[in-house]
Amino acid sequence: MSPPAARRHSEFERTCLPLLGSVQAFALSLTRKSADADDLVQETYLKALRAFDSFTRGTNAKAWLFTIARRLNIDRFRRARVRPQPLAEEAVEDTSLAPAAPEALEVEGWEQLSPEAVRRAIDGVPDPFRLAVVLRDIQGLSYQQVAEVLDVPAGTVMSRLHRGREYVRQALVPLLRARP
Amino acid sequence: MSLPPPRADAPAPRPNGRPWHADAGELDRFLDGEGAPAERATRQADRARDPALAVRLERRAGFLRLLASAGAPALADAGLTARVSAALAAEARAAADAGATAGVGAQGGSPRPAWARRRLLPWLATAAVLLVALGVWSGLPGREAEALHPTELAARLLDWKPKGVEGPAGCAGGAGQDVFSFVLVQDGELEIRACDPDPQAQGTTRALLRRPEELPVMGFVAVPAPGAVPSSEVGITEVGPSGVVVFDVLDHGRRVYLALDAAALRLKHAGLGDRWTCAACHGSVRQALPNPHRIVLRQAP
Repeated sequence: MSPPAARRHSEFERTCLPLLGSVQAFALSLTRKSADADDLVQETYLKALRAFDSFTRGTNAKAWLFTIARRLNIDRFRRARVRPQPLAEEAVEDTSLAPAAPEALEVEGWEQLSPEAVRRAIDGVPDPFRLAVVLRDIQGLSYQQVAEVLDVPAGTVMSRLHRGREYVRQALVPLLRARP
Repeated sequence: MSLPPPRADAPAPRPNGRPWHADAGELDRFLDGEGAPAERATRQADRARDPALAVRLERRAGFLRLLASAGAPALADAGLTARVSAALAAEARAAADAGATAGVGAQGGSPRPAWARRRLLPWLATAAVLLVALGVWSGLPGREAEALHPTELAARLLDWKPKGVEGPAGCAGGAGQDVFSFVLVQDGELEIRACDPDPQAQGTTRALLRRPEELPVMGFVAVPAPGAVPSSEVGITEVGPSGVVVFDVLDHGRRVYLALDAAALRLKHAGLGDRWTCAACHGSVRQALPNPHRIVLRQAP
């Protein structure tokens, strides 16, 4: 490997390998299967290495890797021809999320719940909203970064995030109320 | 806890006639730290002078803290880390090879291209490693796989007399045996030197592999652990970046992926959802079997 190539490779590893756990977690949220997630992570890193010259230094590498992972995941679905039907947000609103005043879900004592209960609740959220919650609340991306990863307008991120959080709240509030 | 009543000096309504905090999404957006500085300053002032709003925000903030607490561990598991690192290294080597090959073409006239010279050296190094390993192995008593150092195991592999067909077509065991197929990867990443269904342990196999470039020599040996289900899993032990890798058949009931890269093992297993798999274990014949090997990572002794 030539010195410039070695430096580039080294820089890539320094920048991206520390994010492997986060990419793995995001890949799992995309695929919902650990084996598929690991494959996706590997593909993501290989593609990222090839495209590292296009990465703007100083920007958020995690968001960049997530964007690659999400696009690769779509490609995988296309190759397998089993692309899941995107969940219509309107349909979700009509059937799955019972309307509730925001204040009704604004309660105290959230700290009593376990992270595991929260993870289960997040897993139950329909995809478009779940991914927004995962990217913002679990991975800590900004709204703009979430918008870039999901390739949607920032306003859509806000909407999906709000809806996703409401799903989680609705799942968790009964647990909270059932506690002694 | 009931909410305090709104105060008379509540925040001014927005152009749509509703105050910003009537929209729960806007509450979250504020708590998420989004918005221009001027807007945030206004909203912080609203919160400071409106106790009911402050309570709502605090409750929502508690929920957001709970969500954040559910975050996944920042570290990937060791198996995936090793696998990705190996894939990246192979990718870098492939890129370097491509560059070198292009360079040779541009120069022209070289009787022995640079890439060929570079590839010859690792082969020689590989042979040297194996010879040293053979010397270590020669003094070993017994044949208990788990008791041997991987280097010694690899050395023992050198003593094989391959019975199968060696070459791109692979080799297979005899009738009545568990059949193993080994695929020679044609693009120079991996070569099967020998493979041999173990005559003393039916349902197992062993193969000696070598890879060009600076990749480690790999020795496959399949010896079932006591009580293990033969052919259910293939273990791998890696001894340093230039050491050996030894596989054996185990049944741990867990799954850790092989720390090898897809570029080096260009085979997808149709029975496993088109997953990248080890070509040595999942060759064309092997794919037809109902119980393909799973691969587990073992700790180096």
